[in-house]
Amino acid sequence: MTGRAADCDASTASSRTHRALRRFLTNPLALVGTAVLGVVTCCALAPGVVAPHDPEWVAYVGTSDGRLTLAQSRSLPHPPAFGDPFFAPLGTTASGHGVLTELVYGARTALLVGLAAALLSSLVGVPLGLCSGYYGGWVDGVIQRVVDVLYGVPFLPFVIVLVAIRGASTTTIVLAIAATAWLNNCVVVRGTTLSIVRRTYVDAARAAGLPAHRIVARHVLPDVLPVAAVLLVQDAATAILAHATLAYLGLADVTTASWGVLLQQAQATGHVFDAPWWLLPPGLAIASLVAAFYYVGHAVEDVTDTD
Amino acid sequence: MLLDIDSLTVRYRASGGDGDPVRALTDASLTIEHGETDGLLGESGSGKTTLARALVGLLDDAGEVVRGHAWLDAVPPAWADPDGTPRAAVIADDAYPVRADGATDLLALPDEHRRDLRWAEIALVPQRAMGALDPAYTVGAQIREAVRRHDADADAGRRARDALARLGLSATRVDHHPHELSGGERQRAVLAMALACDPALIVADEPTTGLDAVTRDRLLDDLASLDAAVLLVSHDLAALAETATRLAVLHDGRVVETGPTAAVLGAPTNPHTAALRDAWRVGGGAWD
Repeated sequence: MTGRAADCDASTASSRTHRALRRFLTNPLALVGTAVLGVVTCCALAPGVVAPHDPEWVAYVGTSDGRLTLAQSRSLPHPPAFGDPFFAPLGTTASGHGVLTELVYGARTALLVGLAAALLSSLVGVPLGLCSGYYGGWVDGVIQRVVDVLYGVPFLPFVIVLVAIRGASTTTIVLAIAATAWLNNCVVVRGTTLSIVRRTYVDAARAAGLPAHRIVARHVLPDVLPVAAVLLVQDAATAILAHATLAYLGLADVTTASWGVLLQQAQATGHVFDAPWWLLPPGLAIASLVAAFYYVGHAVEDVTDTD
Repeated sequence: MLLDIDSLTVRYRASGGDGDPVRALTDASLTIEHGETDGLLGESGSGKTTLARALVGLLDDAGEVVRGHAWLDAVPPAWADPDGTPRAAVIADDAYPVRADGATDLLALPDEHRRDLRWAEIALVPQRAMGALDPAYTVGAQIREAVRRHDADADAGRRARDALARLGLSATRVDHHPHELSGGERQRAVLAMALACDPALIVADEPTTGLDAVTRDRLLDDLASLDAAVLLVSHDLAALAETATRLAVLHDGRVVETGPTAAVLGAPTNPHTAALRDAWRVGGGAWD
C-alpha cells in the first residue's frame, strides 16, 4: 500500500471509530451498562482494595483465631452493621463472613465465567457459522446436522454428567456452558452469512478472483461482527445466569467465592426468608451484571449497524 | 480471436434435488474479437446472465455446465512461460485445457487457475453493479485489493487512480466510500475496478440498469472507448444498437441470431429478433 493510501484508510477508519464512539457515549443505557461493568471489573481485578475485609474475616473476631461466644454465634447471620459491634455494611452470612466482602470477591468468578464461556462459544460458533454459510453444500450439511444433534442434548443432565466426570470446578462449568452456547452462535452467524454472500459486492469480490478466505475475512466477517458481538455479550449474560443457577443447585465449586454460592448457602442454612441482606445483594448483583451485558450488547449492535 | 464460446449448455438443478433440471442455455455459441464491443441481447430469463456468469465460473450452486467450451486467448500464469506463452508440456498434455494456439478453456479450468484469469484477463461487471462496492471500504481500497490479488508488485494506488481517471472520475474519489458517490459515479467506479488489471475482455451484465439517460449515455461511451473487448449483456436494445459492433440474440437459452449489429437489426432472419426490433421501433428506436 502506498503511504497516501495507507494514511487515507487509517484516517477513514479513525473517523469511523470516532463516530461509533460518539454514538455509544450518547446512549444512556450503554453508559449505565458500562458503569456497572466497570464497577464489577474493578471488584474482580482488585477485590482487596474494594472489599472492606479479607475473605477470612469473621464477625466479632475479625481475622484472629478467636472463637465466637454462643450469643455471638446465635446473632448470625447479622444484619447490616456500621461499626457496632463490627463493620459489615451489607450484614453477614451464617458463618460470619461479610456479605459485601463475599460479593466483591465473587465478582471475579462471575466475570470470568461470563467472559470465558462467551469467548469460547464465539471462537467455536462464529467460524463454524461463517464456513457453514459461505461454503454451503456438504460443509453446511455436516455442521448443521452436528448442531441439530447437540441441540437435543438437555443442558442440566449434561452438566451433571460433566461435573460427575470432571468435578465441580469453575472450568467445568465454563466448558459446559460454552459447549451448548456455541450452537446459537453458529446458527445465527450462518443465517447472517447466507444473506451477506448474496450481496453484489461479495459477488464482485469473487469475480475479482479473491480467494474464499480473503472474501470471508474482508467482506463477510465485518458485517457478521456486530451480530457476533451482540451474541458474545448475550452469551456472557446467559453464562452468568447459568453459573448462578448451577451454584444454587450445588453443582458449582463451593470453595470459590461466587454470587450463586452465596445464594445457595442462604438457602442451605434456611435463611431465605429471614436474612434479606444476605439474599438480595447477590441476586441484585447477578441481575445488574446480566442487564449491563445486555445494555452494552444492544448499544454495540446500534453502533455497528451499517444499514 | 479473443473468446470462442462453443456449444455452451448450462442447466440448473431443481431446488431440493427433486424435479427436472431447468436448462438455461442450450448449445450457445458466439465469438468475440480482440478490442471489439459486442452485444448479447435477450429478454429477461433468456439466459444472458447465466452465460456471463458461466464464463467466469460464478454460476449459482444449483447451476452446472453440461457441455461446451469457452476458449479464451490467455493462459493461467502457472502454466505459462514469463512471456505468457503456454509451456510445451502443458500443450502436449490433454489433462490441461489449453490449445496449441494459446487459448484456454475457461469452463474446464480448475477453480484456482480460473481465479488467476478472472479480472486479469476476463472481468465481470455484475448485474446491479451499483451495489458491487463494499460500503465498509473506500473505492480505492477495493480497487487496490483486486490489483494486488493479481500483481503483488504493482503500484496499486497509482493503478486505482489511473483507472478512475480513465473513466473521468477524479483521483480523489479513491478516498471516498461508495455512499459518497452518485449512482453514475458508482457504476463508473465499478467499471474502473474491472479496468484496473487491464483485462482483455470485460463482461458487463446490464450495466445501464437504473441509470438516468445522461449517465447511461456517458457509461456507454466509456464502454465503447475502452481498449479491452467488451461483451455488453443487456435487454436494452437501444444501448446495444448504439454501442455494439456485433450482436448475438438469445431466446429461451439458444443463440438464435448473430452477426454485425447493422445486419441483425437491419434485416433480422429470426422472428424473435424481428419482434424485439419492432418493439424497440414502436418505442421510438430507429436503426439506420
